Amino acid sequence: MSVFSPAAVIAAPQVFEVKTLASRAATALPGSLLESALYVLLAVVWIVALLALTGLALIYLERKIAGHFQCRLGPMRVGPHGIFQTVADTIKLLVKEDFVPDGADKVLHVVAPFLALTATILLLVILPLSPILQAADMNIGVVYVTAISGFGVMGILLGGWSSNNKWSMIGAMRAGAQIISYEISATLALLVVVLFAGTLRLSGIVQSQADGWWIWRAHGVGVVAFVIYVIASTAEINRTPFDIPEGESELAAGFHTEYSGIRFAFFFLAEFINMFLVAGFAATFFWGGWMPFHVGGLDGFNSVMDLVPAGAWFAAKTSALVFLVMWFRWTFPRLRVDQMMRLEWKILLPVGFVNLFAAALVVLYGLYFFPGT
Amino acid sequence: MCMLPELIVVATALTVLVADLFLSERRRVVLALLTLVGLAAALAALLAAPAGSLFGGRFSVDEVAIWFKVVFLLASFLTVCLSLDQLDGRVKVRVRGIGLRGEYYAVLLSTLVGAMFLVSARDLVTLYVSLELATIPLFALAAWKRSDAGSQEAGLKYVVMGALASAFLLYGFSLLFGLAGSTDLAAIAAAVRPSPALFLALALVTTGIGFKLTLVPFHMWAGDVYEGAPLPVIAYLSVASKAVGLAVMFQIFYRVLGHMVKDLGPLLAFLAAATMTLGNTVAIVQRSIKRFMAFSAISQAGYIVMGFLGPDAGGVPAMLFYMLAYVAANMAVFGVIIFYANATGRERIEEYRGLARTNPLLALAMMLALFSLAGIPPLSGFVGKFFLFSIASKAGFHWLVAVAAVNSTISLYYYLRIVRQMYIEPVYPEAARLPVTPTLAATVAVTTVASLVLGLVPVFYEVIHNQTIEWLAKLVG
Amino acid sequence: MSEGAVETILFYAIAAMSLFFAIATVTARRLLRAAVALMFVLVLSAGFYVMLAAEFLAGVQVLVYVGGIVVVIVFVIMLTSSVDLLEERPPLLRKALGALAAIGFFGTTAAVYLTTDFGAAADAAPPAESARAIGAALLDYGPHGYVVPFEVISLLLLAALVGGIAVARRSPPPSQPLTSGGDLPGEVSFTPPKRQNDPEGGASHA
Repeated sequence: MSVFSPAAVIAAPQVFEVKTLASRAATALPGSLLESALYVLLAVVWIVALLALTGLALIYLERKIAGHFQCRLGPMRVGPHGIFQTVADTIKLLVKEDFVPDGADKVLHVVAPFLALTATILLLVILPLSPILQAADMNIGVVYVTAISGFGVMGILLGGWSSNNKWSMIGAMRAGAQIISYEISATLALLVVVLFAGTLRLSGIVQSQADGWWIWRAHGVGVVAFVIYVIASTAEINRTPFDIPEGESELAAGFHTEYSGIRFAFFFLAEFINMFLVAGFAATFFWGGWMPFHVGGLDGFNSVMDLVPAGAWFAAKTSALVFLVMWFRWTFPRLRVDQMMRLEWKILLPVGFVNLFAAALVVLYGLYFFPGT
Repeated sequence: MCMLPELIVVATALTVLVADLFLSERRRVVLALLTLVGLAAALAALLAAPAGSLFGGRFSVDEVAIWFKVVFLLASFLTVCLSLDQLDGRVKVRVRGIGLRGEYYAVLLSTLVGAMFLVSARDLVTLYVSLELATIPLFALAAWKRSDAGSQEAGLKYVVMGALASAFLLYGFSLLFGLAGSTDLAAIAAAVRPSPALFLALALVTTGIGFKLTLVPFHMWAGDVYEGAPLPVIAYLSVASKAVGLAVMFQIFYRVLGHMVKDLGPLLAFLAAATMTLGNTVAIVQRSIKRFMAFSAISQAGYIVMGFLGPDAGGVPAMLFYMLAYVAANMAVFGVIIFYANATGRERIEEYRGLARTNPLLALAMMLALFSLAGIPPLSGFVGKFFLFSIASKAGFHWLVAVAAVNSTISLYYYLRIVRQMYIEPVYPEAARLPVTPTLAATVAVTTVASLVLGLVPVFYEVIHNQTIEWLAKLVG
Repeated sequence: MSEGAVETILFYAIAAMSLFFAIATVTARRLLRAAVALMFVLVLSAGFYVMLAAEFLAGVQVLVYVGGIVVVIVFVIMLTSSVDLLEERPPLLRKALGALAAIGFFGTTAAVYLTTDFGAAADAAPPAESARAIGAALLDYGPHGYVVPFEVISLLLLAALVGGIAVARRSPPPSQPLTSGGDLPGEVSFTPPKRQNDPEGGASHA
């Protein structure tokens, strides 16, 4: 079902009918309960598969890319070029002793990783991979994306606190401070896109880029918003250069120091999927998501572009962004706490506000490309 | 342009905040001057601007609103006059941790703006939001002495109790909205009928307002907050914040419940009696002048609420007049308290002994102001109380008038305790004449004269009465 | 399969969970658990909003309360208490009084709600696209607009921010060693050690 028929696209250029799994289930509900339930089941299977496979792939990729950046080979032993390394590691993690430290708040210690992973899954639900590969779409999409991030923070904060370990707690506090600070800038950047698209719905935002992706169609403000979004969301997912919450040279392993076994795996998985989500959302908001590279008015060119399936466009853009985020990690040194806060509150935030204001003017006076359509 | 006074105050607040950024610590004394100029300009604009409304009636200024705003502006102006010595460091005994002048004035002006918007609000949302603007910055002001645990405690207690009161008020508002299906005060007034839900809403709203107005039994925060907060902030709390509570009560009881306000008489009479009695009896045993003023202020709130008992709208001018008289007298008292604290750091009642020997004029001002608070004849406090008592007696609450009269007598006793300390008790052996800063002297002089003149010259009351009563006749049918 | 049934079941499920967590909030002896329970209460309230077709409000509820307020509460708890700390059990008398007050209030409100017809408010239809409608209403300066409270809120946030920072600020910032940083009240009594070129002594202004 991941195959998107090119013929249909050529027949109706620039018109992509979005059919999410949730909407299919809803349409089927009055007719047959079974069909509806099947669609829901399909959505669940899809999300779980996406979670597991993306996780496996990203962890492997990270190690390989890290290796090559450092002139090493990375994992090579398990399978050809080590492609089964992550599978082996996963099995090892699953059979490890699941340990709750003495003196910890046991309930919260158990709940925290689930919260973190739940937030990630809830975001996967709304990510539009292609017109048909989206589990659910809602008219408050952008607000939803921003709101759910709050859950992730709670998972990290609770995990760090309930471990009853000072490194964990310091890591959690740093993570919390960092995430709630950078969330503001990320949201401001998203608002720029909302201004241009005129909707909060994710599929609507993708479809609004049928004449061109916002990063170039919106002139400078799109680029600035994109840069702010990438920086801020890199910080939100605690990746280097913003990885002080788990900076291993000072805090052991930060908020998940006391985690092992499957619950550590949850945190770990959530972290990697979050990277995928950030790349996916950045692609959706600024690079058109699954929307092929279109230029308004050039119908012939657009039809050629439509030959490449929408899902492939999304995959390509997201992979590029994931690579960019991994590149950051092996290029930039870690920021200090105060530098990180200064970057957010004294640079990104003012720039973000000015940019939002400029974007409002651009939208108001129609100064962007193809405003009429 | 009937919003001009509010806009001037907002502009002043922002100017002060930004100017603070660019001024060196030494030059920041001009901030107080800037604030005073802004307040004076706002007052002038208020008196010059005609009544009117904006935003399709969502913001409207009528005669009652103008008088309330006069009270707010005067109280803020006097508060700034009382604050600037402490903030600029022109004191003998420094208050620890007080500072950040630009922020102080900006936050003070913000609460003032909230109060001013509140009386002009014509829907529940604006009313609630403005009340929050008038209240929340005060939490910070109460905790302004940052290195002082007492001030921190005051701020914290104020926050907790304020949040609780706010929740009650909001709950009541949401019930009112549910009953009427509209946030517009006039629409609610047209829609509500006496029903259990309305009375529940009213009880909740009264609880919320009771907090602002320190009505018993919602007064618990007052003593501790007054004890810990900086003195100028207490002066503001006891006057402007109380007027804010009165304004909310006016908005709800007259605009929304205008046609049934007289049915609520017994409830209000009970609240008034409890408030003045508790305030007065507890004030007797206080030793700290700050706590003393807290309970004195509680008892004053009890008198003011009597104005709501009126069978017609006659209570409103009486309340407004009493509020003005109260502003003058209370600010004069606080002027002397702040002067004494600045000069000697003394804040206990028995430490006022011999003030009449060292600074006879200030002691005289304090005595006059206290007598005005107690309601001694020629002073304005007496005239105000007279009108309020006559409202209650016209409404048939003779027992309440009796209670109020007894309470006035009690209050005279404890106000005289201070006068006795100042005039009869022996002076401190090493005491000398204490220097007074010009602003403080002027403030005390002006407020004392005002509390005399307001009582002696009837024209003020007549103006308030004539302006408001006609307009109010429309509300109370 | 009637849609009403699904909604009814959903409503009671959310209501039951909401109640459970609300009780957990006030009975938990560990502060942080209370905060987590509170978070769930707030999230479930968002569920009610969704059922009332106010999705935008639901999103904002989660955004503000979970992402903002509960996180701040958790921060405060983390800064002030430790895992081992348990709330003291209140004495029986206080418990009984509290229960009495709660039951009394609940009884009163429940009785009032059961006997009242909230017709006027219940009839109001929710707007089709709530985000757009809310935005338009907030900036509408006509008789049905809310531009005044909107602006008042902006002022409120500014004042609260300034006040909060002023109260929280402890020591003068290291970059300004010569000023008092606001901690000392002023220039008359506070003379910076190194300042010489100011013969007027600050008397030239005001």
